[in-house]
Amino acid sequence: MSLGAFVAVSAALFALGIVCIVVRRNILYVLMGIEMILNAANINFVAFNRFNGDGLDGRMFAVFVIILAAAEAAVALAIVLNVFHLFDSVKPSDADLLRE
Amino acid sequence: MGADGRAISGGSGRPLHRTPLGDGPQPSAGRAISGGSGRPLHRTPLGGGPQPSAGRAISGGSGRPLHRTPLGGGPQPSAQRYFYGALAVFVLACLVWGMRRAGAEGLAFGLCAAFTIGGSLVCIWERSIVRSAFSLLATFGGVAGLFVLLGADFLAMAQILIYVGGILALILFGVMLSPPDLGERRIPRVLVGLVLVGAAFVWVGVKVAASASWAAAPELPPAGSHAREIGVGFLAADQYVVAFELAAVLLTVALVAAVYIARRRASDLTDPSEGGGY
Repeated sequence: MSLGAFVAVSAALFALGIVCIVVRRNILYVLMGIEMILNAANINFVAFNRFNGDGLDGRMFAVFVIILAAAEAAVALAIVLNVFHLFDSVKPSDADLLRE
Repeated sequence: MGADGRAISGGSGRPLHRTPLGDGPQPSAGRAISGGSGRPLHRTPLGGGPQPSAGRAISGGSGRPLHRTPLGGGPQPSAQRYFYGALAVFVLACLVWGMRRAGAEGLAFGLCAAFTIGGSLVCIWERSIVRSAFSLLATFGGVAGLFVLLGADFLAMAQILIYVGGILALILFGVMLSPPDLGERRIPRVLVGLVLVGAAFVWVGVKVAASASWAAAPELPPAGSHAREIGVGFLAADQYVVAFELAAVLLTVALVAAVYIARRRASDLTDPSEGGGY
């Protein structure tokens, strides 16, 4: 398969991640959209790495992105837990304590 | 069991199917059973509490079993059907396009691409967050397949281990504290978002495809196993060892911080107004 096909899949996944963040009113959907976007970036890293000399840099970047995603998911879920404890809701629009 | 015992003895004398988990004082349920026609009622083991609306819906129906799943069709079963029909067409189109393009490898690519994009489409579409979270399984698996097609076998395994095994499990833990809010998804909102972002995506894609000149390497090197290279690259002093150590520190700090943020404080456990915490 050509590079363009992989980049197209990656772009579609990125766009769907954006839609998932924007459309749904739930913090957990925001997390899922972020995971989709990170996966799309990973596909791009690995695809460009493969079609440009097959070195090691793109794969290393992808490994670090995965590490970062794991750390992000853990911290984000802890924050979601606290937000739910504080506001009794998982809607991002309900967390408006600073407005008052 | 006192109230239940009285209610049962006041009935028709037939043994009722009382399951061991559905006990406890349920006066209304007991009255409903004793006031019935004496038939054994089907008490499900976990459906202990009184469910007047469900009971009325079942007994007041026209006699045929009602196929109303609480999460499935909902008020717009036709929309659900259209969506999954379009999804099936999309998957088939991906497979056929890939097979025409590059034979068996193209078929595998089409399958992985269909899994990736279809899984995220289902995640956006579904009303139940549990289904959305599990549809991410298809997305992550499809991305792992794309990694395999790109010759990155170590990354594919790491993807499955970390994403499917770790992050998805974490998200499912988060799902447990999300109350079921089936009215949260609005179909017009979803469609508008899809159309707007899709239009922007197609526009940018056309622009990029017209202007970019990605000269791929003329002869593609054969895809081999890179796990040893990656391991050496992590630890060799002139390659990625600094980034590797930084990532280790980052993971440690992030996980300790996550535990610190998410822990129950002692005041939560003693405060009576909390009502059981999370």
